[in-house]
Amino acid sequence: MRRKVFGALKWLILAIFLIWTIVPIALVVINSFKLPKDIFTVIPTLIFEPTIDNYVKALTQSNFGLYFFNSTVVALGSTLVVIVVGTFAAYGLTSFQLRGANTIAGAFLVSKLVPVIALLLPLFIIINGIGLRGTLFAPMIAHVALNLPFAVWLMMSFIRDVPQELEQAAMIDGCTKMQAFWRVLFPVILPGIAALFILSMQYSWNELLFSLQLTTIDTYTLPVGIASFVGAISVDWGTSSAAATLTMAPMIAIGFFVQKYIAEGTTGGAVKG
Amino acid sequence: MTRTSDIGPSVAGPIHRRRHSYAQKEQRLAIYLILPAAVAITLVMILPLVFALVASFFQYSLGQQPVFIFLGNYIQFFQDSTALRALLNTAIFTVLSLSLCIAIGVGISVLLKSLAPRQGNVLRAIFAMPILISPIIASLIWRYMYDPTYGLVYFVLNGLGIHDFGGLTSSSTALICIVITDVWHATPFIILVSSAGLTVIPEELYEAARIDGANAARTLFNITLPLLTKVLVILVLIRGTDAFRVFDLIYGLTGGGPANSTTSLSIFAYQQAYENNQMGYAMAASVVTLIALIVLFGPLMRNSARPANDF
Amino acid sequence: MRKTRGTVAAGIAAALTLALLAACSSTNTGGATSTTKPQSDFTLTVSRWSGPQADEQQKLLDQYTKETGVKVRMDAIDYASLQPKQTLNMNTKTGQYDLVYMPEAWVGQYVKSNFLVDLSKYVKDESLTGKNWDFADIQKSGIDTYTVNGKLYGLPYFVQMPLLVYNKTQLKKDGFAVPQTWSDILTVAHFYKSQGTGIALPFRQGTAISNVLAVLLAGNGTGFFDESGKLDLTNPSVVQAVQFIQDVSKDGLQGSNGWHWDEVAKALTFGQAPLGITTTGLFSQIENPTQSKVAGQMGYAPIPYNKKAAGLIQSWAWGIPKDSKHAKAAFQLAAWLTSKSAQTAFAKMDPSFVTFRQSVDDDKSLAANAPWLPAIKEALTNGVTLPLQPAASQLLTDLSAGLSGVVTNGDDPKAMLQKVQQADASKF
Repeated sequence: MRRKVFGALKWLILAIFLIWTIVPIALVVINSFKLPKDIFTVIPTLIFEPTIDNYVKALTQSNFGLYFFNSTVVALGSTLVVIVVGTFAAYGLTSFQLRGANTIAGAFLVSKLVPVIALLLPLFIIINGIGLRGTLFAPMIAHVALNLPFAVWLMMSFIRDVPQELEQAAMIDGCTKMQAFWRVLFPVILPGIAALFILSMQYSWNELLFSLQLTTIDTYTLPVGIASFVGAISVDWGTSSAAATLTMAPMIAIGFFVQKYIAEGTTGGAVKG
Repeated sequence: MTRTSDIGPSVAGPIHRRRHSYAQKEQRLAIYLILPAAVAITLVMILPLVFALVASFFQYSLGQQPVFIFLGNYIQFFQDSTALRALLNTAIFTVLSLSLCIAIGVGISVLLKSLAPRQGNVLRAIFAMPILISPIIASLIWRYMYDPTYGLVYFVLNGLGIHDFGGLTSSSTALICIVITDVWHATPFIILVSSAGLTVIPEELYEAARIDGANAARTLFNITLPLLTKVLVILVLIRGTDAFRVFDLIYGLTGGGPANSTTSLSIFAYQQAYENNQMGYAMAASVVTLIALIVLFGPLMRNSARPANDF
Repeated sequence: MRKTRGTVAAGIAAALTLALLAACSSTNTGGATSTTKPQSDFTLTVSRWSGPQADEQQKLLDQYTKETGVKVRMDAIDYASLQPKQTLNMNTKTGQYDLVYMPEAWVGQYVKSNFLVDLSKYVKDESLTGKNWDFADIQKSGIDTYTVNGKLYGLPYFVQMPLLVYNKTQLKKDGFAVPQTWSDILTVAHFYKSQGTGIALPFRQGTAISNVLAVLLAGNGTGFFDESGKLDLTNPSVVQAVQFIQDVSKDGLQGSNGWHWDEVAKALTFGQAPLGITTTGLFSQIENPTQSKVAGQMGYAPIPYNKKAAGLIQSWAWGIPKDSKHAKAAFQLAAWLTSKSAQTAFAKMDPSFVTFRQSVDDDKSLAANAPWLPAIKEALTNGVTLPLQPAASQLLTDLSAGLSGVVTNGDDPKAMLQKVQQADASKF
């Protein structure tokens, strides 16, 4: 009996959370198919004449294709660098008894505490100085660095959870340190890498400040385009909603695909030692 | 994969020397592994931080001659009621948002873990959606939700018989409204990362507990949460420091109003830097933010930086 | 496991290559424009806000390229990011922009920071302006706004001002004349508030509310400063105006305390508010029959006053950054944009585009589509601008926060003004 009550309660909580999560998103998707007269009604309408005008407008009025391409390059590029560089750094900081490792890890985290607003001016000067302002490298570098502290710390916490004996056993079997990493650690920390992939990707895909300030017309990304629809002078809800839907759809698709690795965990078999 | 390792017998000399060079080699490898991250972080964050620190001692407006005023900006900060209000708002926002996000996020991910894998995966994918949406879009959505005439929030509240909800236009509720939006947006972050942390917990431990006849609550407090601690600490650090520097959502929802009731330190610094051209003052506000964060989260950081103590 | 690793590695390699290739190649994908004249070997870059009027602007710039062969690119970004972007580029001397679109509120800081080219000589040079440019046709108030220490730093382009917008049919039906004074508007707003709506007001903490205050001060025969130029916020006439803001906000449409101009315009466009205060720059949408539920029904009047009708001149002008590598060509473009024919063309496309050119504003064919022009003219007889000193933005920031407290928390107007006076008096 108690078990049954508990089970029902569990599903109730999940159902409430599901509604809470989905309704705001559904709202923007539905609005993207509405004419303004249907968006601005006092009682929310579910029955309306669907229109794709908003999408036509969103796609033709801005350089949507270019923004989409730039966003893909920046987000994918920076995410992969973050994963590789971040995971290796975490490995270097945890598994080598390196002197000063804690200090370095601490410095990484402190850098994460600096308000982004304070970084903008000096970073603008640096990026301009090394001649990368206006290229896609500029936002990529910013996103990589801004995501790295989190990446390193997250991966450190995952690597620390793996018993050292596993790695040592592999090395007794004749593996080098790096081979031991690939054979023993990598499969175990894959859920962490999957989480990192999603989180780093979404950050880069959605980041506005650096993507706007360090770039020029040819290298603007999607958030820059969205912001120009949402702009302070006039909010065109229909078109904004369409652009928003187009922007969030790929991320949500990737999320669906990647998140299963988060829960799959240690099926690699390498830990069964 | 079974290639002879670098530490083969070809290395001559007595055993302890061999060990030494091996250790040196390992240390060098560790440094190579860390170097790229260190370079990127130094270039993008540490150098600009030094710049910000120096600039905070100057009366500095872009394009104009800086004047050294040492602690002048800091003194001004602590005499400026708007700045202090921003500090207070930021602290309130962080505490509320962080505790709600962690409680809900960990709770949901534990519930998801108890489901059949397929059900859990589908729900987790849906629950992850808000974090994948840009803050600009999130604030766009919620501005519409909070609209007193067209917004769903008011529609629901009216249905419940509540007619005097201030929403974003009352200084007593605006900050709460932003916290709610932030919880909606950021809880998936907690769900994703703590789900990954839960996955790493060996299934055998749960089996053992089941055999011992432990109930759900005991499993949660004796196994799940302790083993999740390290990931939780990281989550508190990352989410807490993100919340403390909140900018986009507030900028999109209220711009800091009404009556500065939602002005955060980042909003304040942004206004000073780019609307009033008080770059030095803005940098000082940012340094104060940094110091506040170190004070608040420093103990946790030190705790988490300690090498792993195995369970 | 080996397979996973292989796939992951291959994926990383492929994506990185793609990313690097794209990052390298994407810097020179210039937009191709059809031309009739040989193209210039340089491109002018224009910085302005995106959204309303940006499409029309693009059409004009394309036409310029067609006529002269000078390549022009428009960098239109979100209004909120515009000032930081211009500032960062001009401060770092990147040479990114040749022409920057700026409101009078930024000019003080820009000039103080030595960012802008002095245009005083250019406007007299007929080889740059073209023969029929007619400098005298541009209203003096516009020129004065962008003149600092006797030097001209911007060519005034576009004017807007906050006005009262009301539903003629509705007010007539309910037996009201056009509200002119403070007491008129309070009566009307109170009536509609009791009917469940109210007056739509741009009283979000931000620029709009302090702009409304500036109009009310002029309408009460006062201003932010006394005759000697000292900040004078505790003057009884100022307190009176802030008191009026508090009174009228009580009859505001629900949500008004969180609205900017655009949301008020939306409330009017969709027939939600019978009257409201918003800026002329957004009036096209109210009269656009495909978007608006109230097209043709609306009347326009100066913001109600206590002593005499007043208006706030808010304008945008073209300035040339010092780091531009093509300052002369940029000036030629700015002169073309502010010429009579280009401004007429703009106003034809967007009737809310009001210019500083006397001849364009008097154009009868344009007035038919812009029913707000008489109200603008009336308000301009007592037209003021916002304070333009470099410290003014700080003052306006503080005032808008204070006013927001007055309308949302019921703060005492006098105490609020005293506080701001104390904080900012020394800066002027």
